[in-house]
Amino acid sequence: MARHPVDGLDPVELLEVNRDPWIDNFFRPLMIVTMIMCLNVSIVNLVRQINPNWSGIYFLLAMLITTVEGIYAYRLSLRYRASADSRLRFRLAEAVVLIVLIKLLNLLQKPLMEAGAELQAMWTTPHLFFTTEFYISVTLAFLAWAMATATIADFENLYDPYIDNRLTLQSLLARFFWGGTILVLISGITHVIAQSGLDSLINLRRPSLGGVIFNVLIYFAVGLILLSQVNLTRLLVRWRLQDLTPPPHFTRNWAKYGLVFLGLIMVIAFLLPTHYTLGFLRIAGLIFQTIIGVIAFLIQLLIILITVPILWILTLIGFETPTTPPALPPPPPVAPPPSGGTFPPWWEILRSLLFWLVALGVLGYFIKIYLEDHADTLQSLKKFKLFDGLVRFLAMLWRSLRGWAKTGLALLPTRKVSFKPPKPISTGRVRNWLNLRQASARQRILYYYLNILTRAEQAGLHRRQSQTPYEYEPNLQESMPAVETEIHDVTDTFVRARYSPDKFSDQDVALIKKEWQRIKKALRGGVDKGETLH
Amino acid sequence: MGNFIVFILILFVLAALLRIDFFFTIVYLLIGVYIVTRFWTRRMLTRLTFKRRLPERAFLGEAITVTLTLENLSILPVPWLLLNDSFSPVLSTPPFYRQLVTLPGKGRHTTRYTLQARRRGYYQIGPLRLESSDLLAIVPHISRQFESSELIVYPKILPITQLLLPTTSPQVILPTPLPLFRDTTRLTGVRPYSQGDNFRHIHWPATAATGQLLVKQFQTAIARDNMIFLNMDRADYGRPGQADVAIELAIVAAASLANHIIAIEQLPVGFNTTAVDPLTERQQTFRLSPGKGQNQLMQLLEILARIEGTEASTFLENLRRESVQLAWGATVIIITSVESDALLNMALLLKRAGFQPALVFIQPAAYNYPRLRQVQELGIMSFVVTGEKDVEAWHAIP
Repeated sequence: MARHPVDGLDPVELLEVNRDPWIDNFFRPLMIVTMIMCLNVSIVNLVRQINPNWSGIYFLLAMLITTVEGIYAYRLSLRYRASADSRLRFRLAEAVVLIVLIKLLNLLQKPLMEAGAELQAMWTTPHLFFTTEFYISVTLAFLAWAMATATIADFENLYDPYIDNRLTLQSLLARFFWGGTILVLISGITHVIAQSGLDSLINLRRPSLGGVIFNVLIYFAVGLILLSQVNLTRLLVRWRLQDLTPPPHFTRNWAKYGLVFLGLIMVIAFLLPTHYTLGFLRIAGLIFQTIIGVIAFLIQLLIILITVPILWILTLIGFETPTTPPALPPPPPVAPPPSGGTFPPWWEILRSLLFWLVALGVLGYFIKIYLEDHADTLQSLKKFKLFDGLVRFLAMLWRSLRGWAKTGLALLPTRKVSFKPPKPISTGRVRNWLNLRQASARQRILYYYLNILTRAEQAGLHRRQSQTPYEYEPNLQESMPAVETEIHDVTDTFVRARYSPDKFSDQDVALIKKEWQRIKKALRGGVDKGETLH
Repeated sequence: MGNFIVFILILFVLAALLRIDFFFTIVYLLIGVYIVTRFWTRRMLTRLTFKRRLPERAFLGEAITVTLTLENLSILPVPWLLLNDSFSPVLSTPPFYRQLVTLPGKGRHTTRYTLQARRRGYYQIGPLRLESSDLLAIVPHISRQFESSELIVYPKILPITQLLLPTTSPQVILPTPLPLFRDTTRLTGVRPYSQGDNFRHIHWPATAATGQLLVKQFQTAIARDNMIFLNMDRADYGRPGQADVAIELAIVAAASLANHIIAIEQLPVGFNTTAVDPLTERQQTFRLSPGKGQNQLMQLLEILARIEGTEASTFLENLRRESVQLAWGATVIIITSVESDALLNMALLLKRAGFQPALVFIQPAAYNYPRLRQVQELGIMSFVVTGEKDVEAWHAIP
């Protein structure tokens, strides 16, 4: 897209980011239009609950045209930068065209005779152009247009390296979230009315409603895909600024990972329990009631166990006791069966309990890790005593549960662990590939010194990789002053054996071997006192 | 993503109030996206291993290839990863290497870049910093750092056309079969005792082991040890800006001298200096006993590569202390900047003790040596090095 000079900067100097025309002209507008139309579909469904005769097709068509027009009008305005007056004229013209179009579509959904009569009436009485239905349609169309325009404008801002795209991201997210909230609310009300009637809206005791609401599912699925797209664009722009080249097939891989990721989570989300017969408060009430009942039962049982022997003793010593024995306490009250359930009560209760455990558990875990990721939010919330108290209580509860769990596990019979003898410590024996008897004098000298290195390493005298034998020699001498001279001799002889063409005899090797043995002994913690070496 | 949690809670409340199962599925979906994203992102970097391969030592002017290998041990792919390896601007500009990669599950990625050894010194390559994030920008960017590696660039070595160092030896080439001198620090073996051998040279442990009286055998040599004493005191090299240039020239001179003596003349060379070690960032004395061979040269060059100038003036004191341990007749090459009474006195003392001092004055700027005649009258060989050409030519002052 050609850019005009901005703030005196030549277009060539502006940082341009490569854009995919397929993404810009088709994919992204399609996603935005789909999400907005999901909202409109929910409105149509709601209105149809009130007025089943209204088809809503032309309304949806009007919203579709308005949304698409809003996106492309914005793109057009970017391409042909004009003065403020020209832009105002363009917008006015756009508004008039859209208003007329909406009115026409409103008329089209009516029978032909009715539409004709309305047109004639408008000719003589122009104010009849503006009806309540028209006002509502125009308002909703304007909202759809505004959402589409704002969203596409945010996407365009993502490509502008001179704008902070974190604000743009927040704007898009806020629109996605609030759009989703409104959609859920409208769709939910529609669904309840459709399934259970208008009266059931305020009935919190009614059973939960099943079924898939497709426009909600599509909205969130498409919204998450677009979020992924937004993040991709942000990264590409940032990398362009840093002069970094994305890896090959990056965009393709990104789309692949995103779709697989979302697909898997969707499958898991559909598998988790969602159906419940008893509400949260009801379940909580039942649990509480059951606990109280059990406690009361135990107390009564205890009282009886204490009073019966006492009464018997009193009888023995001549006191009169009541003839009727104390009755056993009634069992704990059974939870009342839920109304409207087709399964046995215990199954409904169990299912509801399972659902609330999973739902609250997932939600609680999510809140926990969210606060872990946002330490500043947690610190701000901790300033509220109630929240701080709640956090402390939950932490204490968690610690107690873990403690009980550990205690419980400790009581379980443990498996016998098979004893494996420890690996023998290397005694410096010859490895299979070097037979000392067949090795040359030079090889044996090399072996003795390297063996000392291995033993010293095991004894904790670490040698840096860059240290030469002469550099390491003082470290050894410092740790074993008693064999200082031996260490020097062995080191010196090793260096000569390693780097010089000098010849070595068996007597040389015998000498070094003796010194090696003394050093070994020193490493193990003792020194042979009988010998000294000059 | 600040409103994410608020939105989830609102959705949850709406689902509970409206009592619609499907909305809980939506809540699970959104929570699942967050949790899985977080888990994936955190696991991504913790399951990465990294290896950096590069030569630990390089000569001046060499191109150094650094190979970075990343391996993903997890089955989860890494959608994007930014590698950022940093190093000194002396080795390359810009002073970092960056690359964007995608790592599939259990995948591996290898990349290379080249550095230029433009200056001697000790350099840290790295640390390597990895940066990544999730697909939806839900969790903040994460990063991980891997340890750095070391690189030592040896100083410049100039070929010396002819080096005439003072010596008392009538022989030119060593070692010599003529037993003019036995070096008791160099034990070459043992031999059976012969009448007249010094009892102090009997090797008692070998005698006990073999049951035969054996004496130690020493290397016959004429002390042609060469010992380079390099002055790294910045104060002795003039003004601060001048000191850096002079010290670098001194190091080049020392390296070139050592290389010539070991490689060409095949004589032993030792080294001694007090300087700052960048590894420990402290002043310390570097001491290398005279020795021959490539290994000795490498050790010496490694010290010369690392050392930096010091502010403490301990050169002459160090020279006095270390010279006691030198073999008689050794050539003592003192590399410093200006002559002083103390230095001349020291040189004279060394000469009287049987050593052969040679003074090398490093002075990039023009300088008139007032005591040079005095030095020559004392019979002490001296050289003046003002630039690299003087190192190559190596003319003694007549």
